[in-house]
Formats: sequence, C-alpha cells, structure tokens
Amino acid sequence: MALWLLQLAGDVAQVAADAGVQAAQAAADAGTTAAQDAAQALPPPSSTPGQMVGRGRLVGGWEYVWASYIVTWTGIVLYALSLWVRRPKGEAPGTGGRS
Amino acid sequence: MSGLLGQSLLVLRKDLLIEWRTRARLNALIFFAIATLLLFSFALGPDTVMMRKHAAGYLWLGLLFSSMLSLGESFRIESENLAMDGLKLIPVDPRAIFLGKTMGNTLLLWLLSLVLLPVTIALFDVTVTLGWPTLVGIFLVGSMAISAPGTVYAAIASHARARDVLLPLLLFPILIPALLAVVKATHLVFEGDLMDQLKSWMRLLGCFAIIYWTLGFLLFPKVLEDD
Amino acid sequence: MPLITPLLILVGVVGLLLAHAFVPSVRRWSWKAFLGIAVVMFLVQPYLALSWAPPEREMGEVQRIMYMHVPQVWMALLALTLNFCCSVAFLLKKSWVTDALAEASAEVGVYFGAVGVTLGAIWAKPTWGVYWDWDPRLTTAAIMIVIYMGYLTLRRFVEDPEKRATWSSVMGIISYVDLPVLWFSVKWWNSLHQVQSSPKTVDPDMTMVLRWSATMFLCLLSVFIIHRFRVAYAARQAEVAPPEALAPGAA
Repeated sequence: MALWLLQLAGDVAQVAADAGVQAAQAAADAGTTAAQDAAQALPPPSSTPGQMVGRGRLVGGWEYVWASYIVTWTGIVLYALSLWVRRPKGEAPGTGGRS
Repeated sequence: MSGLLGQSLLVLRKDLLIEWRTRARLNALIFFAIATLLLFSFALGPDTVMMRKHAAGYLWLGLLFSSMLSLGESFRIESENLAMDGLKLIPVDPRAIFLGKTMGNTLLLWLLSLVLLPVTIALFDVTVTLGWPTLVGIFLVGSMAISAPGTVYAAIASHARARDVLLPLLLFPILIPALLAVVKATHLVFEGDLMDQLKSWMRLLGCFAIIYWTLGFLLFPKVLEDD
Repeated sequence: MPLITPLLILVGVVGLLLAHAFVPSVRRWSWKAFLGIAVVMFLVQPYLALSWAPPEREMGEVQRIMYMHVPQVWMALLALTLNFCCSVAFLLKKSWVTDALAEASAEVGVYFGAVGVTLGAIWAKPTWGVYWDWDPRLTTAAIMIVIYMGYLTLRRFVEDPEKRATWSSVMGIISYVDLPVLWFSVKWWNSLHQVQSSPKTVDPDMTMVLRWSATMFLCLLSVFIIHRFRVAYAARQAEVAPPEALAPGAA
C-alpha cells in the first residue's frame, strides 16, 4: 500500500514537471496571487481607483466570521445531541475497547 | 490450464462465452449508450460549437452510465444458481476471478467505446485530430481504469440490499479522477494538443488504473471470503 | 500568553490519547478530561481568534475564519486516517473493536469535513466573491465527503455484521487511497484555467491561535469518536449476541 502511494507520489511529481503547470502552482503559493484574489473580491474600482488598490485589504466582513462560528457551534451541539440520542442503553459506560 | 493467469483467462473465456451465446448484454448496452448520447444532445440544445467542445465529456458520461449496467450484470449472472459458489469450489483462486472479471468488463467497455465513437463523431461533429491509435489507446486505458474498482464494488453491491442504487453511489465519486483524466485526454485528441498536456493526463489515468488493479487484486479475496 | 502554550497542551492531549488507547482503566474517565479541556479552550478561543490575533494584511478580519475552518478539515483528515488504519487492521485480524472504531471515525470524519467545507464556502464568498469556485481544496474535500457518505450508506445496507465489516474495510482502503489521486487530478484540472490559493502567513501569533484551535478541536474529536465508538460497539454486541440476550431496542 505504502509502496503504491510512494510510487504515485513520485510519478505525480514527475508529471507535474512535465505538464508545465509548475509555474502556475508556484504562482499559487506565492503571495502575489493572494493579492489578486483580494483585489478580485473588492468592488469594481470607482472613479478613484487608487484608494481601494492602495489599501489592498478587505474591509469588514465580520458577518462571515460570525457565520462561521455559528455554523461550528450549531454543528457541535447538533452532533452531540445525536450522539446522546443514540447512546447505548442499559449498559455501563466505558465498557468499550480501545478507541 | 493452471496457474493464476491461466485461471483468469478461463474465467474470462467463460464470461465471454456466456456473453456470446446471448449477446444480450452488449446489445442492450449499445442501445442504452446511444440513447444517453442522444439525450445529452437534446438536453443541451442544438448549439453545435458547444456540443463539439464538450463531446468528450458526453461520450465518457455515456460510457460511465453504461458501465454501471454492465458491471452489475457481470455479477448478477454469478448469483444465479449459486454459480459463484460453484466457481469457488472448483476451486478457482478469487484473485483469478477478479482478473478474469475485470478483463471481461474492460473488454466489453472498450468494445462499447469503439462502437460509440462513430456515433459521437456523427452526433457532435468532432474530428480526431491526433490520430486513431492514440484514441483507441486512451479508450483502452480508460476502460481499464473504470473496470478495476467497478469489479470490486459490483461484487460488494451484488450481495447488498438495493444493489442498483448502491453501485453508482459507491463508484461514481471514486471514479472522478479517472473521469477527469480520460475526458481531458479524449478532449485533447479531438481538439488538438497545443500545450502537450496529453502525456500528463495519460500518466494520471495510468496511475489510477495500476493502483486499482493492484488494490483489487489484493482485496478481492476478502470480498468473496465466507460468502 | 506564551506562544508555546498550545503546543504544551497538545502534547498533554496526545499523551492522554495514547493512555486511552493502551491503558484500559483510563478509558472510564478520559472523555471527561477531553471534554473539560475542550470546554476551557472553546471559552478562550473566541478572544484569541477574534481580538488577540492581528487581522491579515490582504483579507483583513475575514481571515479569522481560518481558525475555525482549517483545524476542522484537519480533524476530518485525521479521522479518515484512523478509519483507514482500522480498515487495514480489521482485514489483518477480525475484531469488533476496530470495526466499530472504523464506523465511528468515518462518521465523525464526515461531520468535520462537512462543517469544514461549509466554512470554506463561507470564507470563499468575501475573498473570491462566490461561495464555490472549484478550488482544489474545496472540491477535493467535497468529493471526499461524498465518498465517505457512500461508505456509511454501504454499512447501512448490509445486515450481516461480518460481511458489513469486511466489505466496508475494503471500501475504506479503496476510498482512502483515492484521496491523493483525487487531490492531484482536481488540482491539475483546475490549474489549467485558473489558480486560487489561500495565502499562508507565518505570523507567530497566528500560528499560535491556529494551534490552539487545532488542539481544541482534537479534544472535541476525541470526545465525539469515543462516544460514537460506544454507540457502534454496543450495536455490534447486540447484533452478534445470541437472540435471548438481545436487549429491547439495543439494535
């Protein structure tokens, strides 16, 4: 199994070199792309483009951060609840094997 | 004839013989696949430029859907009259059953793809830019890549409840890398390979096929065990 | 707070996990310890992630989603790795423990993966302008979830516990091996028409908060897997027990 994964990894590395996509991937890891991404997400430049580009940063967006917290917390509560509903009945807890 | 390869070829010969006597499976598959291709062209409208661009995708989706039928069928024939138990009692090495079945499924899918090719060319107005041998080779490796995990999962699904739902559900997501690679490769043969990408996609497809033939070979005895 | 703190807690948590795995008496109370650590870390984490850590240079405050998104995807991968190990272990030596653990880790892995992908989509909206952009990470994670949902479906569709365990082990191995191939295929497929990436910042404060969150989710993952394991193990015991020993409603 590990052997095959190794072979795959080696082959994949070779292919990546062949395909000529390494330039694109290098660009992906460089910070420049991040700046492009952020710039894409900004609203289209208005009459004073220098203002937005100069700062180059997403402003605000706290609602997305809160949304991520709400999703995480709701998920945890719901999943814990489902585990509680499905709990083994009539058996002392902790009798299981290793986990 | 003995030995692993000999046994595999015997299983293959048995399957092909069953297939040849009725020719039911191949006929049904061909009509199903052609119907799928027709449905694609109806559902996506008469925009010829777009259809030509996406022809490789339609062709392989049609083949993928047909392969679900043929894979399921290849184990259904074994479940009749406990044929699989008889096969194991002879005894045939389970790995030989895997190799034989996978070769059979590969062959069937490959034949199907060769039959579908002229239909695709006619329906979607594509041209084979890079030459026929390349295309036939891509079809063969693609069929091998689909057949190996397909055979393992068909064997599992054939004994489970709701096997017709289960097989595509389990198999489609696993096959996504193979589908991506084979569609890209076929597309490049149709449209021309300007940036020399064909080789890398073929290597990915080849890797996928090798990995799953090996995995299937190693794991298939477990699937058939105490069955 | 010293930057090394989360690493120290992580060492303690890993030690407790090892003790849980090898010392039977620890198993009675270890989940309470994990839960306690998780609760304390969860109470502190919003302060660290939302106020203490600096905003990122390009993405501003939105980057704070990373502290929730990335660790949960890691936990999904960790759980699925555990599933793979259990699948291999079951095929080598049959045991209801590894089977139940494989079931537990697959379900918890799917849970964390689903939350992780959802958060990834939420993160994508302000940074890329759309919820879904066929980013290789997001796409691979989404397909991974579909694959393991298939795994869980297979487990439900097979009644015979022994066959279910064997077949799902085979599927667990096949699915896990598929993940790297999937990752590379989606990456190439994607890189041919566009390149997306999330920038890596090496600010030590950010690393510290990320490690804090990862340790916190590791505790939560342990609690979830331990309890899901008990559910699965009890169900297995009820299935393989002789009929008269069947407790009502245990299956």
